[in-house]
Amino acid sequence: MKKSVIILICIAAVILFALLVNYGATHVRGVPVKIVEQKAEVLEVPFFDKDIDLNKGIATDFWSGLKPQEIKLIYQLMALPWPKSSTPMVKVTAFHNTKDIYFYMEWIDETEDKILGVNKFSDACAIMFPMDEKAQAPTLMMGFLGRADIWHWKASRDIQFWLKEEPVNNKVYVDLYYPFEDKETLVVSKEIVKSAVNDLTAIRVGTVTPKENQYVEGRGFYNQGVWQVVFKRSLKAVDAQNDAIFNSGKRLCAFAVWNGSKGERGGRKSISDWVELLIK
Amino acid sequence: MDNKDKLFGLIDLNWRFELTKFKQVGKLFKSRWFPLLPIIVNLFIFVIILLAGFIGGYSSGSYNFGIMIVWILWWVMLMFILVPGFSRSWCLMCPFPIFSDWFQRKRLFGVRQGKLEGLGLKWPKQLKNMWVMNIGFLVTTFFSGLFTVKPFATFVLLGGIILLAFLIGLIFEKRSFCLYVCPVSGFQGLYAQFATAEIRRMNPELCKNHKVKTCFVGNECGYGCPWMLTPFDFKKNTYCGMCLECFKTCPYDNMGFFLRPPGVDLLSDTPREPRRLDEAWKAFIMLGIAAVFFLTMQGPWGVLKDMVRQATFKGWLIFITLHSFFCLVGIPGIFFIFSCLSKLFSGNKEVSLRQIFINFAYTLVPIGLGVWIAFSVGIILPNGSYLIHVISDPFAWGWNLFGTAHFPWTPVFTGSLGYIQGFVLVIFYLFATALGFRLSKQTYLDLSQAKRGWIPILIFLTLVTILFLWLYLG
Repeated sequence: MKKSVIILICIAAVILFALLVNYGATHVRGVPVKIVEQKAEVLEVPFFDKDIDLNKGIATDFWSGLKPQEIKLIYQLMALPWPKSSTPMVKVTAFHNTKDIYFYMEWIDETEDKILGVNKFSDACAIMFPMDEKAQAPTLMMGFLGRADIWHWKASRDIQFWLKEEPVNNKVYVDLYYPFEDKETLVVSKEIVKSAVNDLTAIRVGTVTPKENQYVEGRGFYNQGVWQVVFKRSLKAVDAQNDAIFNSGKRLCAFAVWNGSKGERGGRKSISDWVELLIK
Repeated sequence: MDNKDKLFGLIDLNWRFELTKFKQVGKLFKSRWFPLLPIIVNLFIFVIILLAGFIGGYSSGSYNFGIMIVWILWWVMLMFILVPGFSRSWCLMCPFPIFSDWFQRKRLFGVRQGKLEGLGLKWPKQLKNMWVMNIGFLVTTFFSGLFTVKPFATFVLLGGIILLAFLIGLIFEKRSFCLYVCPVSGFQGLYAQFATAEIRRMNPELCKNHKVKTCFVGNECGYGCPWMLTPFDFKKNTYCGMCLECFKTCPYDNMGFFLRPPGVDLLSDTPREPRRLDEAWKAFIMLGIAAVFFLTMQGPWGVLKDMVRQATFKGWLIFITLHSFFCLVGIPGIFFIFSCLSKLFSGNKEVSLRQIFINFAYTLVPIGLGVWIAFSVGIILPNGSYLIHVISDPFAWGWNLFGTAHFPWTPVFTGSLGYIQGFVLVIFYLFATALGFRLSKQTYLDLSQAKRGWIPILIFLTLVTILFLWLYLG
């Protein structure tokens, strides 16, 4: 047999094996599916020379003059337990005045749930900011693969902070803290609410931890079947390690809504995909 | 070898029992169907193994036919039965080189006389040793965390070996791949020296007077030794691939298959088949790999497992660096110190340190084989039950061919695992010491020098055995 024929056979065998390995490597987990990268929705954060004092309300008239962004929500199904229903959409608006940044969330909810009880849960909403600027889709759930800053507003917390009302019926908080603790000299187990918004940090499911310093303010009102909530924080992060930073032009964030009357709490919630903040 | 030399005072090292004297065995060895038939059966099994790795359903390694058959069944059979019992009997039935055999011979079954097909180049003289196999096998172990877990990685490895065997068969003469490249070949050759079986010519006079040497050049009944050996006078199992062509080509039926005491080849050192540095290094590498495999696969150290399974690239680089250093430099370096001590203790000035180092390195053959058998026990007893599952569902497609697809994971005798491993280590340690002292007598030629020179090596072997006893028994 000629030398050239043997060389050709060798080359053909190597190429065939390389093609086979390439096919196997790309099909080892089944037929590959081309995943089209979805473009994140963009929420513009323009500059307005406006300051909102939450003690006086949330400036509904001002917000109604701005065009809100409608953000689609789906029910959370990355971690059990899953919710049984969903809030389909939340309207979001945001702006900054170079000193503070404001977010306005508005969604439809047939019932106002702000009092906790046995099997009664509060309505709530939250905004999550990944600390990693290049966060990918899998990191959505509580910063699954990276740290996240979460601003969590709860109706029950809101009335506790702003209206100084007890957010519980029939002293069901007995499991959480000593029911007569208020009458004691020193309160040790009952949380002293510093804001209607709980500023949290998390690195994955089950790791939500309130931050030691709470810099986020917030307030919500329920009006004719609609919740309107405003978040406010200084534009500049006080603690750059733990607080979301807004100095860059683009940031990612995600929104979540809980419907208390549907039994939603914890992981039972409606969530958005990543939304890109365009800070102008 | 002393005619009255008995191992432990019991086993006559010159004892042989010829199996081919039984007519049916002799007839089988002369038939061209043997070993072709087992090769074809094995080829069928390896096709399933490759398919399981290539198109099999996505499953964990323990539920994949390829991984379980290759790394659990085959490996254990190899170390447990085939090599220590029947020398390179795996080579007899190995399907890897069959494609190049068929190509070279242009025959699937019969004998084609004359020049074989292919370029038929001579293997480079500098590489006519075990170094390519030594490095090849060591490099293969760098990816052990993939091969034993990911079915596709096993496909790439086995497919690559088959491809390489074919290509080398096209370019170089006969079984150059098996002799100088195959990563499985090297350690089989080394440990086959301890095997309790051998193929040898029977009557040396007959061979001497047979001028044609058909076992080497071939005739109408068979091919000249594909392993390029001289079956009429070889003394060691190391490079005999047991292809049985010499049985077919010998017109006087002067080739025999014998049972024998273990380890007699270790005492053989002839000008045609001398003890060699590359074989010594093979012994070091195999011992090092056994230790590293135990630490990473059966040990409790998660940080090592993460390194091997390439959790991080940096960790994997650290693993291959330490692993290579340990096998190629660490163990030989320590052994060199003990060889120096041996020379010092013996008081001998004539024997070279190199010769002492090489000769005594062969004491690591029984030790290494014992360590590998003990390691294999640690694989098969906890994991063997997976085999019952995979034979019913070879492609992880949800089949249940033999009704055993749902057989649960059932570890067997794992409570006694450490004791079994310890027992094996001690038995092979005893063989190493018995054969080692004979090597010392061959090395130093003077009994008192041999006794003194043996002490450091005995200490080394004892320390190695204690180390592995500690590892296996905890």
